[in-house]
Amino acid sequence: MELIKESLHEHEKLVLKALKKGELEQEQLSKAAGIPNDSVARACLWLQAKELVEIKEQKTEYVQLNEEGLEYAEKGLPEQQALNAIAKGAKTVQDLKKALGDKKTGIALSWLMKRKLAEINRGTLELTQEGQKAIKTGLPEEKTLSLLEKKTNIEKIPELKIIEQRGKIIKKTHEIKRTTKLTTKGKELLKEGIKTEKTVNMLTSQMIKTGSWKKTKFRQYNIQAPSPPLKIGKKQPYLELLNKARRYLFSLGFKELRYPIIETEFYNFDALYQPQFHPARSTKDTYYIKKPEKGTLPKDYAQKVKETHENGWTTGSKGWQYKWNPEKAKQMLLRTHTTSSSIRAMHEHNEIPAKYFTISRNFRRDVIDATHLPEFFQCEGIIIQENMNFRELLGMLSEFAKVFAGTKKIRFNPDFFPYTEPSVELVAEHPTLGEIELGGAGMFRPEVRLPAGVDAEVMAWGLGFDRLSMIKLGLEDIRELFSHDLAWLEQTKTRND
Amino acid sequence: MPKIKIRQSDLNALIGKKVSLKELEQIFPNIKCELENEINGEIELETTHDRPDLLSSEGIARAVRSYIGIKNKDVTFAKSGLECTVDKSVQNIRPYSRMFIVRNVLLNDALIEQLMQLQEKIHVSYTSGRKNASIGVYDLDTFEFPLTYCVKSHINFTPLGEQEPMSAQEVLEKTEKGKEYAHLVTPNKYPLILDKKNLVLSMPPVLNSEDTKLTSRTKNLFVDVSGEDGRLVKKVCVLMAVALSERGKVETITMHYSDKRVESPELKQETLEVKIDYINIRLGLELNIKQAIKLLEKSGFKAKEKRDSIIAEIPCYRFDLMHPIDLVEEIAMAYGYNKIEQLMPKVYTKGESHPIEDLTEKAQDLLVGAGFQEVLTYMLTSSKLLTAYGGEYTELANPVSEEHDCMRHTLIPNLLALVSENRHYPLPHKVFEAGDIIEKTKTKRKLAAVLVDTQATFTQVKSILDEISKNLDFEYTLEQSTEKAFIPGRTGKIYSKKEEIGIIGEIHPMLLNQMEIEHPVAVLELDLEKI
Repeated sequence: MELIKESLHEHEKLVLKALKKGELEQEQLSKAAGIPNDSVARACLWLQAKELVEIKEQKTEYVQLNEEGLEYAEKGLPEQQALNAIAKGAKTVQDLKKALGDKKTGIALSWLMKRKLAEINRGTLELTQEGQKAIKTGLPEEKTLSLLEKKTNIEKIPELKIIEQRGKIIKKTHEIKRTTKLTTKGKELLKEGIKTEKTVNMLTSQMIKTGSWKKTKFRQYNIQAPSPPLKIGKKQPYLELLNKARRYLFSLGFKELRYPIIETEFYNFDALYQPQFHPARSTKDTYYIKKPEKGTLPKDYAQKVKETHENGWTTGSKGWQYKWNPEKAKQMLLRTHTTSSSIRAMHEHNEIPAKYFTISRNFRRDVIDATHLPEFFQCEGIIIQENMNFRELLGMLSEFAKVFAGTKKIRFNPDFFPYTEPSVELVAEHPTLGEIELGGAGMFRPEVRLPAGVDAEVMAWGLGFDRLSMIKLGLEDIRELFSHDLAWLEQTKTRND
Repeated sequence: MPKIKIRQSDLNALIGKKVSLKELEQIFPNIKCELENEINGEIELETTHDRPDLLSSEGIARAVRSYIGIKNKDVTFAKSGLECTVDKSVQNIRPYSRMFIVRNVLLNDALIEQLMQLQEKIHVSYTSGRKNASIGVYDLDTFEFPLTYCVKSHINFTPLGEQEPMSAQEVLEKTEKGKEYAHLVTPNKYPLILDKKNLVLSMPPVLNSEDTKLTSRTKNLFVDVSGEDGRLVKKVCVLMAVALSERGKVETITMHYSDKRVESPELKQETLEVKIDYINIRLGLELNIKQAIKLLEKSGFKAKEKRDSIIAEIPCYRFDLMHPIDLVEEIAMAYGYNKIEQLMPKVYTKGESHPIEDLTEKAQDLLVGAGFQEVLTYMLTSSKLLTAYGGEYTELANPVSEEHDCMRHTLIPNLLALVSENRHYPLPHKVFEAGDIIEKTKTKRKLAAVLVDTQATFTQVKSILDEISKNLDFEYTLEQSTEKAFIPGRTGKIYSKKEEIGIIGEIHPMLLNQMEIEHPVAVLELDLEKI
């Protein structure tokens, strides 16, 4: 009760006091409380929510003539006007038209006939007995019409149907009368007594400046009341997850790479020791560019790659043993993996030791469906260090599984990539969803790193975050990572791990 | 990666020992096979591109045998004494041919399934179609040696599955296989294998004849491989012969070329040498030579010690070994990847972000601060969507669909498509994207913001531009422009240091109608690499 008392707005208190005498209508209440009508209405609703008052609503319907009706009330119904004209000497329809106008004559004639007040014989209007009587006494509806000139309670007009038959000459309105009375709880509260000290709704700049706030009591809010929704700007949830992975890789000492998406086959395949006859190097699996069809090759590097493919160059390999075609290597395509960026960095910087990574887009000629995108993000990285071994690659991968998939349960499967040996696939055991392929990895082949000018071991890995991100964001369809749905984007939590 | 189906019963029969599914499940990952599923004894496996020898149950059986310690027979083929002449006419058409025979085969369902699967998988995932190399299998006892492989301009024979003889032209026009492979044949130059009496065995790479097909009575097989890629033809012939040597007795055929004579299939004896130190340094293990040899044997190699090295014989069916590092992987696989103790790399390097990413992040923060929602859209897009804007975009040579036939050169079209799709979502729509675009062949980073509201004006987005320029510390000027996507007089190009860096303006209502956007749209796009 105390809590309710404190939450009372000044208007609520005034209304409660005014209701002491008993049930009141809103307007009476407004007078009694000394505050405007709409303030009373609002205060009553608040009090009702606090169960201190009870509001009863009574609906009353009113009826009144509209503009057309008012004209009839003044000049008489059309047939009455016609009767009057006939009495004044009008004999034919033409005469009537002169007196009443075309439109009204039509209405008048039809009612004269319908009510049998007149007949037309060979073009001449003749009054019936009823007609002659009506000229003297007037039509019975006239009384009702004059009644309806003012807004009248619908229940007081029993003849309304007859009037309504004449089409739209009346308008109906209704009023709701609200009467408010105290509930038992309200009465009790009043008995206990409420202080009508003046409280203030808003703290104003003026109050702060003048210090008048010191003498002011602020009304307490209902802090549980719902507040209106707010549109704010946020970052894209999937990109946020990728960004988190980026930050983690910085913490491990990785340097971020950025190389072109449109590549030559040379960097996408040849430099990675993928033979020119490899099935992936076809228009079936890879997107090629219409114009320009071909790019340029880095001369010295291309020569080493050529020899490596043909006979192993000085790498200790037999090579693929075929005639390497520089024209094929010049073809421009959309990179199918960011390993093209790793090999560019190796060749460009020749840094030992070094750690590089990139999280960016790759493209494969695939049909879009719930599990395939022709365009996808991949996290790719390499570590360059002399005499680094396979155990260190496995160590790095298990660390990634821990951080990115939150699991220590992992499995390494032998795998095949043309550019790594040994090659490995990383499979993580997700706590609820079973096995997830996290990506592929391996140690770059000598045929890859030596022509690029790196005489040290290179571990390389490519991780896919699509599946993990879908799990974190609660998505079932991979296309939703690129969602266009603003509702989803705005509602998705930014904290999701 | 290729997928194959094998029967567990057939596999066990070939292995010569019953190996349970549970044991197989443990073994498969270590021989580069992944168990996809198993239903009623039928096993589906995913194998890798480097191992065409694992595309049938015969190859899987051989690998499993080595892995569990059962010795494989040496691969050697006796001479059959049968001959084939390779006529000069094939030289510029389909020049390479290899053949062999298999005696005493039990032609059961499992063999037929595996034979057909192996043929198909080799064609699909190893030879990239039938042009380079294709395989034919025949009943050896339906024709007479010596054979001739030649090209003829006219021929009549009954193709497989047909009742009546047809001309070569009819074969290409009327039969299913003929239609499928007609593009591989030069008109009036039909490669043919003929027997002693000019009976047609087949018209490679299209179709065999009905007369020489396999039946339930077939006991001996004849296999031919022909194609335009000589190295592939030889390899495929070896792969087929090694697989079928698990089913019967393979014998060679003498191939007479105009300038040479070869016994087919040719088996090369090659070795690869690897130092024990090399193995241990690469893997971080401490194996001695004997242990390493044991592991190589488990992988199906014969190997012997030579001082501090191991000399491994490369099995004739393995074409993926070209460097000592390949033997290192074989040893690691036999050792078991999951038994190798992990170690964290201890390389000290400094982490560093790319400057364009740093700038992008700052720009993102400013737009988020201005109440804009970040979105992510595809770089692959439709030229239909891009034509309304100025500038050149890069088209794909081989698109899959019209929706993705080019690369975006501006972010605006995708953002407009996005707000169009959200037309029933309450206004205002304030979205932005900071992402890559393609300018000719270069990858560039752009930033675009789109404002949709009952009143969306040039001035509103210009205020945002002002804030960006202030915070990212660059000065700009605007010059009236006449891009057709924008309302004339309400758009301008943004310049900084005399270089065009972006565009700003109110979108033309004609474009809004076209894109079914029902409210005014004001946009701003900046080239982040130029500011």
